[in-house]
Amino acid sequence: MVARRRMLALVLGAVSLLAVAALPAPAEAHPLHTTMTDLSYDPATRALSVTIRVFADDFSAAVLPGVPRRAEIVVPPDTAILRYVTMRFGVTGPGGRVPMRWCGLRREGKVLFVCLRGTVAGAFAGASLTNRLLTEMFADQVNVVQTSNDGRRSTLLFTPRDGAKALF
Amino acid sequence: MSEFYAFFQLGFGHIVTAGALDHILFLVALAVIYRANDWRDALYVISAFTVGHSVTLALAVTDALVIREPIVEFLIPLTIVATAAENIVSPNRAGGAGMRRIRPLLAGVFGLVHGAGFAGYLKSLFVERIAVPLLGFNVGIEAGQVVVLAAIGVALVAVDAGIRRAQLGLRQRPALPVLRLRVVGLSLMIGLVATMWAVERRPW
Repeated sequence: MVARRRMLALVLGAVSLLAVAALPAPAEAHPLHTTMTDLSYDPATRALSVTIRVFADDFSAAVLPGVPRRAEIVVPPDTAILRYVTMRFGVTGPGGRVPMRWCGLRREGKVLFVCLRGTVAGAFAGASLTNRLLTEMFADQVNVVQTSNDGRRSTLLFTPRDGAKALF
Repeated sequence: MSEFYAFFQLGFGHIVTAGALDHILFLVALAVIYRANDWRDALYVISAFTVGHSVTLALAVTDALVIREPIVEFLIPLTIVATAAENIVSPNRAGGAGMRRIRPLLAGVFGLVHGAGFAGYLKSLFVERIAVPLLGFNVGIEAGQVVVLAAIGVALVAVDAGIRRAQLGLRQRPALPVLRLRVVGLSLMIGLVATMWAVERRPW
């Protein structure tokens, strides 16, 4: 009887150790993989304003994928950021993709604020938005976009599975 | 899509993912002591945990509370270790009236620590219009926890069946009830994993 109890304890112990070994050990507590974007359109001036808030460490790693991460975050050059953002984030109207201009970068602690401006040439009805920022890095990436069109507000949410979504 | 629903999805997705391992492990540590019939008690405890982390999250996001992230990241696995240890040393499980009072309190207090972990990320993003995003995020987390709790319940039933089968296979008369074996076995595993995380995240 004692031997059987020992056997049961050994089996439980072995299963426990296997389970422990199989679990990953996150060095960081439960990271939130998300970006937050404010996008506003003014029909009077046809101006499109975009501010993208991103976590500097993940974003820098996405913009410069070959560069190893360091304790101190190295923010990539503006040209590299603009190239990355315009490749993965864009507004498309009936007349085609709306060209976006760089209007600056600001850093507040762990967060970068990327500013873009655009001017819509033709009609804007039926425009759509693509947001694939950082989706190539994280399967659980969620990009939130809060839109405003002449005071009317709406929220769009993009996951790695999402393509273009209708604006307004 | 409404702002509330967008942040609800963000909160839900933040819990129902493999990346939420420390959060899920804490939920397992809280839930492992309950039988299927005690699901209301388990839900009550998980909700107390949500209330706890919602309070810290709100305080931190509104700058009413300043948090040192390395300390919080170290404290989170310690809350898991403490819950697992409490599971092992406390002989009277869910049925006791005292336990029914203490368990939600423990979950609520530890929820304060876990909320501080979220806050570091969210504080930077909720620059304006905090109320609706924060509410949506917290309700999403609670809904995610209920889904995870249901999955844990199913897994615990399977663990119990496995223990019974092992006992039958060894032709052993049970020396300890299945529930006690489950609580001690899983709590040991959880405590071991969380101890490893605590060592890795130590701030010194």
